[in-house]
Amino acid sequence: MGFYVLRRVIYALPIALSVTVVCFLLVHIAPGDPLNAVAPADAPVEVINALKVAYGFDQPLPVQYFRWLGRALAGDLGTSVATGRPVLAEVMTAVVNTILLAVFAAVLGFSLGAVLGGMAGYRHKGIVDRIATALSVIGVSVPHYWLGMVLTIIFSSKLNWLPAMGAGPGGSKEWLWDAEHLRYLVLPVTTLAVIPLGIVTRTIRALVADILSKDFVQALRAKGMSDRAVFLHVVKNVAPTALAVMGLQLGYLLGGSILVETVFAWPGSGFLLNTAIFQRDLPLLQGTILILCMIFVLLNLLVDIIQPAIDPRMRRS
Amino acid sequence: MNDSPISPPLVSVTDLTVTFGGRRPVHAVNGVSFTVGTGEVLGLLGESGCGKSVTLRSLIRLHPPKRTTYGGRIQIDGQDILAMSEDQLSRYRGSVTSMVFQEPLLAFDPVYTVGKQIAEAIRRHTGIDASAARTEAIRLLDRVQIPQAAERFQAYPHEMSGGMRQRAMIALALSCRPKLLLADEPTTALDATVQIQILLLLRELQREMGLSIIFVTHDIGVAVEISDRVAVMYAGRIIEQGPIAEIISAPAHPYTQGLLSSTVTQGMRGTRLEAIPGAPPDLAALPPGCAFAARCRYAGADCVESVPDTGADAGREVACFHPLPPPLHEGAADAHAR
Ligand SMILES: Nc1ncnc2c1ncn2[C@@H]1O[C@H](COP(=O)(O)OP(=O)(O)OP(=O)(O)O)[C@@H](O)[C@H]1O
Ligand SMILES: [Mg+2]
Repeated sequence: MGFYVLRRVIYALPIALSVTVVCFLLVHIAPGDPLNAVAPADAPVEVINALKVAYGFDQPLPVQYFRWLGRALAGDLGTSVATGRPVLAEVMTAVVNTILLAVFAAVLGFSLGAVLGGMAGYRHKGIVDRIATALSVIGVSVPHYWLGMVLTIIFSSKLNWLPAMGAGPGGSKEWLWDAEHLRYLVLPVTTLAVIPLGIVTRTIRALVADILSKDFVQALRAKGMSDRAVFLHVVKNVAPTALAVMGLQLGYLLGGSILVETVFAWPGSGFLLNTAIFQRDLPLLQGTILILCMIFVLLNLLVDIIQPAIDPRMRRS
Repeated sequence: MNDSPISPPLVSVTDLTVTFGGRRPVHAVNGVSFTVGTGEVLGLLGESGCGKSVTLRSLIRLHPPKRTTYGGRIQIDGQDILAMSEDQLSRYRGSVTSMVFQEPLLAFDPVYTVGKQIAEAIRRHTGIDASAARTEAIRLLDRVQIPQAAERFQAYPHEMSGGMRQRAMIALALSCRPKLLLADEPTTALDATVQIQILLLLRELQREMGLSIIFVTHDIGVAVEISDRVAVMYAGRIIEQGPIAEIISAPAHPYTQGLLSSTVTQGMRGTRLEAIPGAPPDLAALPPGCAFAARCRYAGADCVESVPDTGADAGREVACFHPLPPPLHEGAADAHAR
């Protein structure tokens, strides 16, 4: 097991490294000069050149890359051009806010999806199954920014029950655990939970129906096991794949949804990404993408490690 | 104690019918009657799709409850199976009657160890604690000649060979000392040498435990090896049954004869039953008469009009209007049977 974990970690390293390369190149591939955002368009050539030296842009690319990587590893992702604050601090605040949203949305979507999908799988082709299937198709195909807007119009504008914008009263970015702040979570969490809900429902429905059609379920009944005992066997069989799918969905959620966070002005990483793009704040953009990608690599690694721990069939390979 | 002549047979199936619902109902079993005595092995023989598995599974009501309609009567160990509640049924399954499946790799849950699945059955029916169940499961694995039983207890199904899995399946089926074992082609998925070992093991355990077995097979060689009596099925009916030696030496039903000649000419063991021209009838649209009439050389006008009854004759039954005459040296066949 320890060896397996080590091997997975080693496999993840080149992926992480390529991510850093892509993130680095982003600045140079992006249209326009990275200095445009800092220097006025009509700045004299001497000023531009001085800035180039200051930012290290006069060095060859590989040199720039390794310098940048070294700083990044030390926790220095530069300063935001727009706010002048360190990128790392900006990104961390945003990531925490996004994690908050993601975890709530995941808990809601996964638990509801597991129950719905499980019921549908057991009642294959029955009425519950049809309803669950319809819901999951809607969940996956409805554009969620649109859903977000509809929810805002209904529950915020018309009924005035819930706040529509921000993560706390007065547009504060720092999260607090109180009822007032929790109210700000309701609409974005609901909106964000719809897609994982749909996907988890669909996945678990298919898995459960498949397991129930297996011979060993007949064999369990043939040896006198109760429905409850059979259910436990089904859960244990479904768990590895279901957890893998959930892990992936959690990954997407943690990446932050640009659209949903923008609709609700939620100060998370998606919103930050949006801001960075529109303000052409390249250091911020670079840092945000880098950290989000690293979170994704880490999550994939976790799924890879956890899955064989619960599925004996995968242990050998 | 079961030796007294008045004791009823362990299994008594009377006029069993099984129909699967749907737009075109499938009449998989159409009036099957047989008995199995204590310690007796009945072989159930017939072509693919003739309803052997459906008959067998009916004895523990394993078919999907919503889509299945049963008729007739199944009496096992004094209990009326078709009248049982779900609760009674789950207590009866695995304790009085248990089952061995054709493909042991598919019949074990892949994410549980084999040992755990045996212990689980033991605990279900005896209520003993986990460590006692574990000890008993290891004893059973050892009893079915699995080497290093204590280690194998921890093995997952995919970590065992086919033959070993089937042994474990037998250990599981016998774990709660059932009176009746249902075996649905338990050796078909195995290669020939392993097949023989499993048959010998089953025979040995059967004698030791005084077990009754209903053994489904395609393979006449296997049926000869294991059975005391055989019942030959066709299109959901038993068309002939009797002691194995008599059926082999003097088949009375033309279908049985066809089955036998198709295998005997190719050697007794290991060959599939085929070579009778034509195909079995559609179970959703059975003819009014004998289901075999369309393929039968001896069929007359009466055969297509009504279904022949089984005439019972000293433990020998044939459902045919024109049974084949016994061979001239009938005495020899009789002697063979004893
Ligand atoms: N659950 C079910 N629903 C509908 N039809 C079924 C069901 N189970 C079996 N049948 C049908 O009943 C008929 C008899 O099937 P059965 O499995 O008993 O055949 P068999 O004699 O065991 O054949 P084989 O040797 O291939 O196992 C087949 O036509 C099969 O399609
Ligand atoms: Mg079968």
